[in-house]
Amino acid sequence: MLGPGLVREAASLLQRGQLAFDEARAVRSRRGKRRARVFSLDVHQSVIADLAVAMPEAGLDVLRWSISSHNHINRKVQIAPDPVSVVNAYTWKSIDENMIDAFQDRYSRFLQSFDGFVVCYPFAFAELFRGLDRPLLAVSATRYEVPYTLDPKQWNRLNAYLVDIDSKGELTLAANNVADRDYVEYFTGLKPSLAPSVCDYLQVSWSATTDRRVVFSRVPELERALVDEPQSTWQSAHAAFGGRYTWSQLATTAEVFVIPYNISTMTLFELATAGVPVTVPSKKLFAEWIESGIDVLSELSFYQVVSHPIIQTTSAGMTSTTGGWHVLTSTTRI
Amino acid sequence: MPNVRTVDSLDEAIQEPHPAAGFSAAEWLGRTDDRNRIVRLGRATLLRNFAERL
Repeated sequence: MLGPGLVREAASLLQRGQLAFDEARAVRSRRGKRRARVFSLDVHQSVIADLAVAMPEAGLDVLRWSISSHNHINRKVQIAPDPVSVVNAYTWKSIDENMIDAFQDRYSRFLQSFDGFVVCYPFAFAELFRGLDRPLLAVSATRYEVPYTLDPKQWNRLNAYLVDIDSKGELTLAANNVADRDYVEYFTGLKPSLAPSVCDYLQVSWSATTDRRVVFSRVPELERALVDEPQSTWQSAHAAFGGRYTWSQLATTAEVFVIPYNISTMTLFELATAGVPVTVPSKKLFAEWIESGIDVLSELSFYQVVSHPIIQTTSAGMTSTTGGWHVLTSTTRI
Repeated sequence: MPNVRTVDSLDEAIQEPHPAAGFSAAEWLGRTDDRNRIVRLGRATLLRNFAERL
């Protein structure tokens, strides 16, 4: 019987083989002799997975390499992050011009074989395709500047690059929620279109076969307050499902209370398309919690994620801080 | 999002049922169809615009 170490090694070998096969096949194929073929390298597997559902209908073939640590959500095998050279799950947060050059050196012929590119998270990967003069589709689902939040020089270079390729007619720019549309516009001056994620890759619909009401929260005190009330019929996700749950289980749930950690999450899009009844806190309730020091919307900004001191901008517009949540929430409607 | 209700307190979430409680699953899903049609159209338009540049 194979031990877990051998299974992991075999899976890793399989994934390396898959990427080598992808490279060889892409280099062999000739542009203009087939359907338009685009390449995606992404850290977030759901946003591109959603776009990929509708790409064939738009006449597009897509090759997706995912360096997400959540590949198990959309894959049955090869669930580890794809072992991409240079830019991978272990290195991407250190991306800079040297890494971009090294990636282009490593994958030059491969990248040349594509008609266009797609980036979702992070937008910094747009520059992996610079100099190739191919159209780029960029779809923001969360603050687009990661991992440059604390590096104004690189963030400004990324902004300048996006503006430059937009001026050449090479950029198709979108956001999947109003807040990130406005956030991108605030920092770049570019105007993304709004294209909410559909998330029909799940292929589930609400069936309401149980009277279970489940709360999803990363704030234990709020979860306890909701669940422990004597009259309450709410359960924690852990109490309802145990460990990991499936979407089939979730679709049977009568109602889900989502206390979001970010202004827009893919879970909310998934629940919407599946038709699952959802309850969320109102803006008034969020304000009360924040004023009470309760840590809701704890990943609204990457300043919060990395525990960086908050710096308010003087503008009445966006900030990259917790202070921005009023603006972000006031514009969020889908 | 037509499947979403907002609450001003946890007590409201505990005491008040979601509007979906008044519908069968089929009726409720019918109420969310328009939203799904619109967002699918938005995604298709985005991809078509991109494909036209290739």
